Amino acid sequence: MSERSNPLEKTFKVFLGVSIIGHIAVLILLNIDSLWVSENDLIIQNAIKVDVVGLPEKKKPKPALPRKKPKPKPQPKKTAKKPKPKPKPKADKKAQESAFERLDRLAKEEALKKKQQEALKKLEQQTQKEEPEETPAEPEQPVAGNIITMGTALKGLDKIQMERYFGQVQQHIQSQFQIPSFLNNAQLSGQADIKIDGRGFVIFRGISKTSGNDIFDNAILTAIDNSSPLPEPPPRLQSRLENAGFRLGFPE
Amino acid sequence: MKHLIFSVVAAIVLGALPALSQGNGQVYISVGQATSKKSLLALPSFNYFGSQAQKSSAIRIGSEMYEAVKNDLDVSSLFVMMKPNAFLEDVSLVGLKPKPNDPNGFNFKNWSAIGSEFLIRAGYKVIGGDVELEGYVYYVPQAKLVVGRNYKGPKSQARSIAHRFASDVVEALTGKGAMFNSKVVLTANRDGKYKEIYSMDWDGFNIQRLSNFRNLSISPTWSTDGKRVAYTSWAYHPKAKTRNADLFIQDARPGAKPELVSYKKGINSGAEFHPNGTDLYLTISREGNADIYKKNLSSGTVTPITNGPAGAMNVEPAISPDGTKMAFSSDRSGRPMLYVMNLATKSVRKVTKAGHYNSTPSWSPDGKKLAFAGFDRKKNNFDIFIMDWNGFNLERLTSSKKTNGKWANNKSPTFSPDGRHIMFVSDRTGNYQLFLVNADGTNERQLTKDRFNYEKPKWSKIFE
Repeated sequence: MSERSNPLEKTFKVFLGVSIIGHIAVLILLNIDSLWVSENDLIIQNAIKVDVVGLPEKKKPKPALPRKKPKPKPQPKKTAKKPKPKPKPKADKKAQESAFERLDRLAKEEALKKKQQEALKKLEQQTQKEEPEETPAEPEQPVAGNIITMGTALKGLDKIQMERYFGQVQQHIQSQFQIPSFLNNAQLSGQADIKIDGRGFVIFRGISKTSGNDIFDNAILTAIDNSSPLPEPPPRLQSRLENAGFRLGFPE
Repeated sequence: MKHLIFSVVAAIVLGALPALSQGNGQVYISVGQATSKKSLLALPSFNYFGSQAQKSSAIRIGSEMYEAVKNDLDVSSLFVMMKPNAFLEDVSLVGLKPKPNDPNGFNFKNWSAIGSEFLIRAGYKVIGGDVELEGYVYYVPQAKLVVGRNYKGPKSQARSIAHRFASDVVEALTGKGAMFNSKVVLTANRDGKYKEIYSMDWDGFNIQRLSNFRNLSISPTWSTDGKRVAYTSWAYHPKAKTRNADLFIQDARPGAKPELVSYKKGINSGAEFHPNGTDLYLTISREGNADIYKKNLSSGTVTPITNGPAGAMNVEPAISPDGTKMAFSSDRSGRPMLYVMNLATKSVRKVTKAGHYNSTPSWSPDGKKLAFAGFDRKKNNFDIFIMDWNGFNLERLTSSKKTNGKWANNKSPTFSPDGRHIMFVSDRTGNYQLFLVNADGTNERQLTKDRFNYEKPKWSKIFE
């Protein structure tokens, strides 16, 4: 029996050994990065705080900056003419040739200078045409969209609570905002100021910016009236909403 | 892991900082878009201010004007009409203007109490052969006058005066007048077995027969100034002893003499006037090839506009309101589809790719949209579609069934001159009747209710 099982046992041992080696190799390959490659240093920096606002409107393209006038190329310095050495009789011909060559070279340089100056002039003329006229600075437009707040110094949970509350107010009033269908294409907009008490009841409302259309303005006031009472404001906001109130934009 | 732990700690530390001042800026909330609703309109009957002697004959005219105004404003889709039994005030006992301006005037409180948003008060009188209408529109919540007008004209124009008042009401509220004083020209078999050309008011009144060929007259269209119509009729040629589909133009009144404009052997059909009023685009088919040609009505010259490809049919020209483009139907790609040609460069672009058979294009007055009839293979019917003229934003406007349960055919759309409505024919009731739908697919309604068949309506301009 032991003689018969020997070849089987040998085979099993070989197989086992190969299997173990294979598994170890796979493990090494999978972990080779963490074993031998050093980790990147952790970069710790302060968290950035931002106000949560809606998508802004498309910004108007800024006027193109005036092109800088290209600096003219510095003209070659005029070197002092060295006194011409008296040509030796034997070298007369050579001196004459060099003089002619020199004249030729100077003429060519002159022509090149002229070309460069003409090109510079053209460039200057072009930049003068392309320079945009100075437009008067446009008044800063408020960031539009579903703005909850223009920005406060509230932080953390207070800020979250306020933003959540004003989101509820916006949905509540919008559900009551209806205009006649004949004003659908009129693209009107208006604003109203509103104050509410601690229970959310409207204690004051008035048009702060008219749409120019009495019926649309009436629809704004009707929406506010029908919305009352609004959701009860958080305790921290009650005093402010009762005294200073807030402004509503219809539709923005 | 270390990174994660640090982030959590940082968040906790920052969040626990005490709240500072709330800032000095005012809180601003953008409410967002409004939903739209129709306005409640109180339209009591018109007061009669004429003499008692003429009252009995005048009442019919007054009633006709009232019904015309009421129907116009209902079709406008801007109002919900309040029922007269809800009115608290007897308008026959009070004036057209409110108290205290008019001591005998009406009281706004009686109208605000029932929730009306708009109130129309109108009165009329008949003097000799003329009728005079005085109308006021009030915005009840603010007790304010919106518009007040006075109209006068022959008794025969009573409906036109009423349409004018209704259009002024819509214009006062929306800034844009309405199509109420416009007409439609079409083919119908109202006189028996023949198909003739008829004109009528857009609401189906004042139907008048224009052609008298006692045969087959089809495909009418208005001239740019609304004074003439062009149409095709199978006229008899005595010398040839045969009939041919010839193109005629005549004044848009019964009994006018038709003038023969195009009589090429074959078919001369589908005419459309260019906005310049001088050129006429039409389909001429010769030896089975149908192409679109332009005929100058002053010089008589005929210019080919389309030219094949060989074997293709190019039909139903529709010129854009600015006169720069021509929409037409062509089977050059194998199936009839809509194409738009730039008339200056002659470049052609295919604007419909969906569907199996697209035809009868009609431009919106602002030139931005095309309405057309498209065959739906799944439902085995034609429906009215609308899209941007370049083929984008395709929408179906109609979907209706006949009494037998099968899908009805809705064909031959034509845009109203104010762009708000589309008229078309439908066989949903059994025969082809005229229907109206808003350009957004809402407020579909039947205009004619009779036993006749109507085809290819074309809407005119607004008559002032």
